Amino acid sequence: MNITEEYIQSIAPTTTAFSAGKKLSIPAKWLSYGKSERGLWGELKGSGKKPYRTQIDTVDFAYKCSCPSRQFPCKHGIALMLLYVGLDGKVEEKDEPEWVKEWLDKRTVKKEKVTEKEELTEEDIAKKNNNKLKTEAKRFAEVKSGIEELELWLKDMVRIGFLELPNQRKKIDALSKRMIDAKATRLSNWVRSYAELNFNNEQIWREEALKTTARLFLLIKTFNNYDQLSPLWQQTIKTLVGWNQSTKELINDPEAESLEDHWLVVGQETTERDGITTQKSWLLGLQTNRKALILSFKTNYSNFDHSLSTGMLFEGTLKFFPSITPLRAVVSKQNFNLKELEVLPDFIDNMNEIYQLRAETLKKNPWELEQLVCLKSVQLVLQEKGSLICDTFQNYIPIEDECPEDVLLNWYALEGSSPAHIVGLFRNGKLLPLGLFNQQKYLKL
Amino acid sequence: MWKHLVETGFLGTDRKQIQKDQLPEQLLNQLEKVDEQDKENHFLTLLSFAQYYNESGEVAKKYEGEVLAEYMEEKRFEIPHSMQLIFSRINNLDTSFTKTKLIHLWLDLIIKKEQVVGYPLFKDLIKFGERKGVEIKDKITKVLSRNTLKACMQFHQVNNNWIATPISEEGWYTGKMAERKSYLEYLLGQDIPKAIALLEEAWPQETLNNKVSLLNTIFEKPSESLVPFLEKLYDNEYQFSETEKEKQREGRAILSKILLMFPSSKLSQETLQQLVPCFTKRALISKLKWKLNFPKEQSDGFWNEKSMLQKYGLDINGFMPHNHSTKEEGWMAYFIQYIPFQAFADALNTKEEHIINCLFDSKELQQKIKYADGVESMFINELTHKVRFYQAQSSVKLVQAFIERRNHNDYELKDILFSLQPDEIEELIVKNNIYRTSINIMCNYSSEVPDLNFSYSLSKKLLQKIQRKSEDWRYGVSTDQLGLILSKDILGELEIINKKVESMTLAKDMSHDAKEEDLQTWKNKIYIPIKEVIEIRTLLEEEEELVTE
Repeated sequence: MNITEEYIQSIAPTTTAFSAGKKLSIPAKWLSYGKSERGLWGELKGSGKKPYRTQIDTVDFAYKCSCPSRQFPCKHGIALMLLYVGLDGKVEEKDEPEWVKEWLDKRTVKKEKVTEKEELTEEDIAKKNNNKLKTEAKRFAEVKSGIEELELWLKDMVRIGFLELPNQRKKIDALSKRMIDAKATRLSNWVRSYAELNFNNEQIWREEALKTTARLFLLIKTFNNYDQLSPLWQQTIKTLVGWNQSTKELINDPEAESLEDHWLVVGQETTERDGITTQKSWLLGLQTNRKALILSFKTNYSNFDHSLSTGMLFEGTLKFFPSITPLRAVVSKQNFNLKELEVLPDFIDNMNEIYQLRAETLKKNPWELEQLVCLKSVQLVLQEKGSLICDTFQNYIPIEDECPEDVLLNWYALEGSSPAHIVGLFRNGKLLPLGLFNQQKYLKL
Repeated sequence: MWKHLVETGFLGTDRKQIQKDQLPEQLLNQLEKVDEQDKENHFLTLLSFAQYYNESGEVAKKYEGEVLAEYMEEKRFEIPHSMQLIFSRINNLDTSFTKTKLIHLWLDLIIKKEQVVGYPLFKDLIKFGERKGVEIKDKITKVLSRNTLKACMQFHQVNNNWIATPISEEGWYTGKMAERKSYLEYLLGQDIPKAIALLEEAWPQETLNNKVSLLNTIFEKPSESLVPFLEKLYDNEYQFSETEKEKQREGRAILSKILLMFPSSKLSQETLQQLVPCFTKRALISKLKWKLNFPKEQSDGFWNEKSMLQKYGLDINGFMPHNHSTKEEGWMAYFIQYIPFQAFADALNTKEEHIINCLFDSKELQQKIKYADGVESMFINELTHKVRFYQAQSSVKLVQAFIERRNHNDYELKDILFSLQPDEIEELIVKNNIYRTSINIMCNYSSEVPDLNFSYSLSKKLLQKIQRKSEDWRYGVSTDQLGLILSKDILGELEIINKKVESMTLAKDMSHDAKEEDLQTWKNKIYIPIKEVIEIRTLLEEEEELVTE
């Protein structure tokens, strides 16, 4: 199990839970603890009569605790992981106690069941497909009617002028809800982004509003031409409009693109909307130079998949969701974690190449808004108003305004303003540094 | 082109027309198939094309300024993983004091090894130092790589207040009074002849206020070698005059106190000549050898206000013998406070303990204890003060006498214990059987505890004492401070006691919950904190041994 204190801190539900877990991570506080090839466990005296039993599946990362806490992981789970880190992994290997064995066995059986294919008769398949087509047609009609309303509103806005946009909040809100009703959830996010513009800065919001409108209108037009599109394009457009992509279906799809590589998690970003927190994990295939995006969601009832953390390097297979520019993926096989970077990815050393790359991506998919880039020998130029990243040719890209100051401090502490090899996210004409390569290691910024 | 489209979109197609001459030819060609009559559709299509046309054609901007490649090379290596783990364990301790004390050791070791704290641990370290004093802040800056320190300065994580101003001779000549006093204090500890030379050189130019400040610094760190210099001041500049200023009287008062502390000074000898007649020998059968007789106030001579003012700077308005009913008692109390008992003994040709006994136990000197039953010496405050604050005058005998006779509290005892040398402290604890009081003092006044390393036997005794009444700590502070002063070899004994507590608690005739509570108090408030601190100390020592090897 390759975990660090920083990683545990990042998965702790609250800072209080982490601090409480840290206090419990002293070996003397545990009644017993041990590890096996597939698990880590411990018993800890809590406020209840019986000691709490905490266990971690170290192969297919998961944890369980007998305490009544609703937090996930609870402080005992955090404490057990911290205990492991504090002992530098030197936990005695023991025979699994019955309660650990039972849980780990159950998980193995469950996994096997998932992978077992359900055998269906031809008749069942035909029936299933028929139902699917009916549902699809119904949904298509609903989305279409929603899109018609959206197009009408856009045309109204063009006629009366976007200067009226700040007064349209109620309408935007209603329209956004209408998109949800029409099952075009991602269009709803596009609509809502109008209300989220910073209306205090007129020059910026005007520009942003019209950029959003341009992309949205093109998407509407493309959707209206749905029947003329190739199947792959149809799939891409459906995803952009709001059709969900099923991870389960993807894993079971033998035709889905599958790629084996040494995958490096180069960065993570979380955003929250309507009680759902989305975690984006950006991955880089070091041998194929392929980029991937893995999404994980957290709600009041479920937590993120904690198997990935920035800086993690593993040998495994990713399966990509079909798209005209396949990027979103799931980890279908994670063989083992690697300790050192044996190969480095291909780097760009001229900022203009980012723009060329961007133009090529736009040509393929005009709605691909973010571009993961590996930059070679770039320098951090700190400025009071907006810092920059400069290449050796003096070409620069500004750093995203929302970039936390801590990121720049880390970069500056590690490399000063001397040339560094970094990974960043290029979006809206700006760059968000994610991490840097330092002495055969990838460090999160 | 894009600007024009943004303006048109902003005002609306009803108000502003698209000017085709502002559009590139490629876009116009694409628009040919779009119906111009549907103005909104035409505009939106154009906007979409233009947006992608624009974005696809973007290029990076050129930076006009100079891009400096600054990186400060670091020759020092990063601390090993084992030291990072030690930091994590220290940072997880219960009390701030223990953490700080151990972090000092941890930082000292890194400085000694000439290593640096790397990324990302440096951030935790800076966070730790934020609310700490300049001493720890300064050490933190010393274990950051040059580049990290620069970055932390750049991002205002660290500022100049983190770096301790070095005590230097330059500070004496150009610094503020605080810096000058620090340097003088340093010299008084290291190089007294130099201190005297600097004082003699600077004295004529100093203001009266500065002179009082400097004399106060000397009073805090007095030394017999300073007596000639101080006597010169006393005999000249600070001689009484009718027109003297208040600061001159104040200066004389400080000088007198210092000179009285040293039997070699003229003032001390003259004063003792006046005091000797006040002591008379008792009958041989008495346990007490000496009796103190208070002098009568004289209109002329030594025992009067004028003389006290002229010789000792004792102003009747400022000198408050509040615990004494007569002026004579007050003056006597003043001399008792500053003149060492050995000097009294030498002048009377007797033993120090006889003087101590006389002042503590003489029947004539007993008075009722305020707000409590019983009697105590009328000089108890002066004696307490003497033991607590004048380490130079303190002795094991005096402290022993104090502990035996004074109905002391922890607060007083703390100062008294800490005025002694570490081995004397241990001896006193054992001799007076003040184990539990000592445990309380060590835990409650941890920031004042000197560097101690108790013997195995005392450590064992203290552990046994604390274990016997471990339930007292249920609502008390953590005892992790004890881990700093107990012998490192005591871990085995601690485990034995822990096993004993576990079995004893199970055997107790009480409810399960009560047993659990007792056990948890022992574990969480005593056993685990002490064990953790001792283990950390051991690890630090092992790391230190690696350096030596």
